[in-house]
Amino acid sequence: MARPRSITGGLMARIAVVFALSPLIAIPVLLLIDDETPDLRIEQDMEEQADVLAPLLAPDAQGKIALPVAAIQAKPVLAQLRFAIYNGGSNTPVVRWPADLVLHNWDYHDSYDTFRASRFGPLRILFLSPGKSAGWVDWLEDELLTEFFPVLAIMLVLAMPLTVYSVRRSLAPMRRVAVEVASLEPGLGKAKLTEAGAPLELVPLISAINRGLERIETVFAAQRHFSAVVAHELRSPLAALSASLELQPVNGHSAEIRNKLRGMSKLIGQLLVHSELSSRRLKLDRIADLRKVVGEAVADETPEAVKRGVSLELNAPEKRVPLRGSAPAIATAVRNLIENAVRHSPKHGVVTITVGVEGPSIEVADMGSGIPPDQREAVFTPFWRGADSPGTGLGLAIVRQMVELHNARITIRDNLPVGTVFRIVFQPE
Amino acid sequence: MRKSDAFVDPCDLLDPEEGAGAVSRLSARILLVEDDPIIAGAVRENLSFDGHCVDWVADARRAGTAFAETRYDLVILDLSLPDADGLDLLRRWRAAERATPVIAVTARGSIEDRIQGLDAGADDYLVKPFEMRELLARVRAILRRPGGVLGRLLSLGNLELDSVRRTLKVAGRRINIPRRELATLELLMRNAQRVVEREAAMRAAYSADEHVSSNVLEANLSRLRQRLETAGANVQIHTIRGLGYMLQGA
Repeated sequence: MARPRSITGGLMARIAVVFALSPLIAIPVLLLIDDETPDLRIEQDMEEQADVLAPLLAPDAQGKIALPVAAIQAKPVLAQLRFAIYNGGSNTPVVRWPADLVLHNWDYHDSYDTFRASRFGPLRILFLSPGKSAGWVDWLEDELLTEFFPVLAIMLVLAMPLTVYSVRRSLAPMRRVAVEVASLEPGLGKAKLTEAGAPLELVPLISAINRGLERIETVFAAQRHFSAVVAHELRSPLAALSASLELQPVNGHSAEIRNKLRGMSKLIGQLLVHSELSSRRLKLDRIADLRKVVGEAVADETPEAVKRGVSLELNAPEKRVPLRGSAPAIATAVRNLIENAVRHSPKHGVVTITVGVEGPSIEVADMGSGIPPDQREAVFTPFWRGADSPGTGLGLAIVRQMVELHNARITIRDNLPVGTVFRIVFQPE
Repeated sequence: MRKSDAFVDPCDLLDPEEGAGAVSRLSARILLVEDDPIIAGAVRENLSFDGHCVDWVADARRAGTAFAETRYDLVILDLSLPDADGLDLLRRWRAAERATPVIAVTARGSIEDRIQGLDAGADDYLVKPFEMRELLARVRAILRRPGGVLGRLLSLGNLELDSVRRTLKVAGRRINIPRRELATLELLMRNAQRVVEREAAMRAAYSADEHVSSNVLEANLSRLRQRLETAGANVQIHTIRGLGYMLQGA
């Protein structure tokens, strides 16, 4: 199975992507909300350059304003500009950069004037438009690197733990629900999740689960009720029939009827056990002692075995053999196995029941005629009749149900020299 | 089935003032709670032939009244009554600390029902339809308990054991029997037709500080078998290897 995707991990990845893409969103937004138009920004830049330029101006030998060529060339930002400097209200520039700069009329549309105080008195510096690209790059560098990214980084650092925390916190009720769901046992009438205290987002899930559980519960309850009613409705008249028969004098005829009644009540009993095991309402989480359970089953089956002239033998360890499961269900299955073995045993035969600590396991070995390998799967089918099998047809089906409910395994092998061995291996406790 | 024209209702022989548990009696006073008249009739007739006095009531209300007024040796209680759940009735009696043995009878009898019945305080549990022989055997087993009505004089086949005088008769003749063998036999007779586990047999014949191996017990049993056979007893002690013993009547 693929590893389930983590909500926390997914959220963190998505948040990281949002943060990475945020400059793309931020730039147009910044452009929109920023009150600085490109022109204004360029002007701002020019102002800055004027601040740089003014102190560089120094008098030459004649005491006139000289262009500090070396100093300008040392500053590439400044060197790439075009400007002229005028003294006071004069219309003729005293200094031009580049030195061969020619001023046309149209240049003035795109020019920026600024005044700076200098040792020569106030000078007017006229910048011709430097083109916009330099300004853009500068601005982006400025805005993003110096202002936006640090804030972004701090927010990212804060957001990650906050994401982990909030996801954990908001999913905590989920874990509580999971614990509740894990402890549900359908059919036992207590299948309902607590809605109170659950967060708004989980309520639909919880109530949907509860509605589903209710429907399952209804089905279980209906089946249970049906079985109980069937049991009562079939057994009561059968009991009355059997009781009134007991008051009749015994003859061949009444013995035959009594026999049939016995078979019928046995079959009803087995049908009910079969349906009870199918409805899975057994409590399987208890510790049973396999030695005790099997001992009691052997004791229960002894009178019938003695009547048929078959001996039972139990091999069990002295100590307890603990096992997780339903003791009455295991007992029922073991009784069925012994009954089956006794029925298929010859007179004076021995049925050996062995309880193994390893596994733990149960073996029931008889000295009957054995089961051919190709029929060993079929014997567990309800109402499957092997060579003139005298049982109800449900005994071994019930055994298999018990085995499946307990996640155990059942195998059939030949007994030596004759007969069959049924072996059940349980999950270790 | 024993039938006799000169049948006397055992209830007529019981002194109504005499309480349950009187050791000398051989007949028990039994309360039968069963709403089906056919079954009730058959049970009553069979128990009467067995020498017991049976009071029959068909619902929980009358069962409660009868139980409060009379000291019964045993109650046979159908769990599905028209006016109440028999299990509730049983729980009420047990809560009131009435220890009267109860055999619960039910048509339900699912795997879990049985546990519920025994948990509620039933001494035994019988699923309908039951055979009368089975019911009589279980009634006898309960009455044969020490302190039960049949707890003093035990009989099976042609054996008669007086558990107070510590004597054994086979076909009417008194037999000499060592103390340990008699203790083992008494336990087997109290649990006739049922398996007595080795440990229980060990406890009956030997005190807790006597450390005996299972061979000693086996030897004890084999001497007992020999003795019974020589005396002409028509009962048999079966060995279930690895589990215990079962005494079976003729």
